[in-house]
Amino acid sequence: MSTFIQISFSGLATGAIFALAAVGFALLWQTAGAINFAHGEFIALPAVIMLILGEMQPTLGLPDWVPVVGGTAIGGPLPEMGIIVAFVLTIPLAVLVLGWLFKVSLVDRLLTPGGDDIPLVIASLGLALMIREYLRVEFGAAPKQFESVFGNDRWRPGGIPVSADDVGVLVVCVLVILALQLFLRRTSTGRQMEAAAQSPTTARVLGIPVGRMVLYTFAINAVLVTVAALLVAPTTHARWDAGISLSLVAFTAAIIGGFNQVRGALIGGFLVGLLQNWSGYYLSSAYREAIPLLLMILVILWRPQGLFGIAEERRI
Amino acid sequence: MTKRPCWSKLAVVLVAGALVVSACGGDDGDDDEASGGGGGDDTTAECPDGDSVLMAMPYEANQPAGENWRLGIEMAVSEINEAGGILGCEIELDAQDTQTDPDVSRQVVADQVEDDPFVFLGTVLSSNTIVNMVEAQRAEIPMFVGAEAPAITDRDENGDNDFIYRASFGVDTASDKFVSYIADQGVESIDVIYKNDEFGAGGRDAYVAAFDEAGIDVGLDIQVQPDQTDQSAEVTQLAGGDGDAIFVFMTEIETAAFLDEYQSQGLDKPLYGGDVLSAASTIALVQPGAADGTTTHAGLNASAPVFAEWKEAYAEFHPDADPPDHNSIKGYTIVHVVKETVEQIGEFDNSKFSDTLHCATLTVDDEPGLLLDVSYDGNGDIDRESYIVSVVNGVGEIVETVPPLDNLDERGC
Repeated sequence: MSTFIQISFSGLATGAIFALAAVGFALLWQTAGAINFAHGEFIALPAVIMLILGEMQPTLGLPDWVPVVGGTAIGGPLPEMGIIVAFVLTIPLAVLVLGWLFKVSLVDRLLTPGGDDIPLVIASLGLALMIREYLRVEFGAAPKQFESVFGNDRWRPGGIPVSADDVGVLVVCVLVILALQLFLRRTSTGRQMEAAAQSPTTARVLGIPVGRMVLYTFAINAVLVTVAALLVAPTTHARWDAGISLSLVAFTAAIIGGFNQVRGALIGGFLVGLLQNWSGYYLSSAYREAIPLLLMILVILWRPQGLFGIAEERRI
Repeated sequence: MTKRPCWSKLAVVLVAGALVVSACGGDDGDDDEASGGGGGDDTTAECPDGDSVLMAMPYEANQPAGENWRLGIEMAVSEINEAGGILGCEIELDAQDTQTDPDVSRQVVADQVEDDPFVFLGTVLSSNTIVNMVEAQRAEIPMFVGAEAPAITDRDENGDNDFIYRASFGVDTASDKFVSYIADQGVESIDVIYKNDEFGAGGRDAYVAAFDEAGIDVGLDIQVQPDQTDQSAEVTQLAGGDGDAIFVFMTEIETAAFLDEYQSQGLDKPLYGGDVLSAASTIALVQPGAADGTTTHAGLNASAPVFAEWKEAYAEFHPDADPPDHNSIKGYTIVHVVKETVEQIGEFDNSKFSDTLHCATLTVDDEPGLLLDVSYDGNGDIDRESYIVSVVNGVGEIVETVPPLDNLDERGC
């Protein structure tokens, strides 16, 4: 039993990251009707940026002879910024580039109301390729270590090994998703965003600035991918091709749970994490990716809206 | 009516033909002059491509192994060219990215064959090499590879390939050298975890056979998938295994994920593995302390004292690169293997190249760039000194030097 709990806990921690990624997928689909196949690369990119910023040693622009203050020669380079500071600095960058720029340069141009969404799908595949190659050329092919912000502590409650990283990842993911749900349900802006997602036309009639609400969604997605990057990079490492598998797994999770429901994508993420670990332990790791994909096919066949999604009708 | 020859036109054709012949002959003469008399001379020879020799380098630019291989080769080529090239011929390197895709790599090699390079330097990954080596074999061009899968030099599996050479030990050679060390540590049973691809599965097969031969029982036999970074289920399985030790055969990403999870679950069985397990490139990826205590057989390890001077030169040549690993040394030394072989032959001749290098021993005394004396058997596999490396406080330390097998007579010679 303890083994089952151990495997399940670890699967939940991994699944929590999948859930964060899947929720971003679902959010963009709900509000903008956009499917972004560069979603995994949107997670890989901030991880590399955080690593670079974290290793930077800023200076205050003062000459070297400025006296030492608190043990630091403030005239020279200051200590490395560290990942947490880098994370905080990366968020506005991500909102600007992965949120606003992505929306205005690709989504707004390719996704017209009532139009075909295939051009955006293809463009996002191209964008994914471009980000991957950019990372490889600029930052090299070698993966880089990304230390966990939760440290390396380990405990054995009841004989079950638990790491600080697993606990930290799980707790942060749950808190972020709860905060997101509260924001969407309990704030005026959140409800306007949901209204804009459900029926843009009605929302406009009611005076809701739909365009701005959609922009907020892209910004929230940018924050989510940056959080996901912070949490997943200690496991995947900061590397140019980390986004490939993340995209696939987030997409799978969103389809299984329900593309049109944040709650569905959330549960889909946890489910995929659990299924991967259970099949890896009880069957063989050869099946760890196949089983969630099999479930995805079954869901598409028998419940296309996803396990927790809502069936939508479209008049053609 | 008879047709009369037009003598003036015929004369023009003859004169033009004579000019063409003299022009070609003139080139030959120039080459001869430049090369100081052609083949057989100690310092110069007729260069295959004007005043240079083309070497094709198909490599995996998007993989750390491929990048380090390239950096090592570029350093060697630069040094050799600065010193006057090979027999007076400057090395011209044609580097092409295979994108780590076997089909693309085969196409890349096929395209490079069109330019008639003297040798191929690459590829590094077994899954690519196994596919693209056929093109070099067909063109009868020697190919030096960093790949380690046993099938690459197995004449039963490679179509009796006379043109394939390794830059490092094949897994079957490494397992011969390493398993006796593991047995000497008192290991009677061992659990195995490996990456499910050409490299990992080939390594797993070679080591399992060697364990069997050495009387070490193999218990759990677990695979992980390429790029699998969550290995909690697999490590949990290993925690329940009965083996005295665990044997790990994966590439850097999977090995690092394994070591982090192994540390996270607090397991403490001895870990043995292929050279990646204790490589600097792996240690750089894991959480602090996660690689400590791992022990590997390393064909080439940058921490060996014999490479100390070379490491300094490497850092000077590539100031922005990560520290060199075994793939950097492989790439560097292999260019010197080509140089030494050509200099022994005295000319650039593909057929003589294969005859000369098979069953030959090249020494550092003759060619310092080899860094270590090296022998090639009848299949293109190498034999040389190697190391048992253990990680202590995040640094690979050599705990034992393993002498060469010195059994060329049993290996096709």
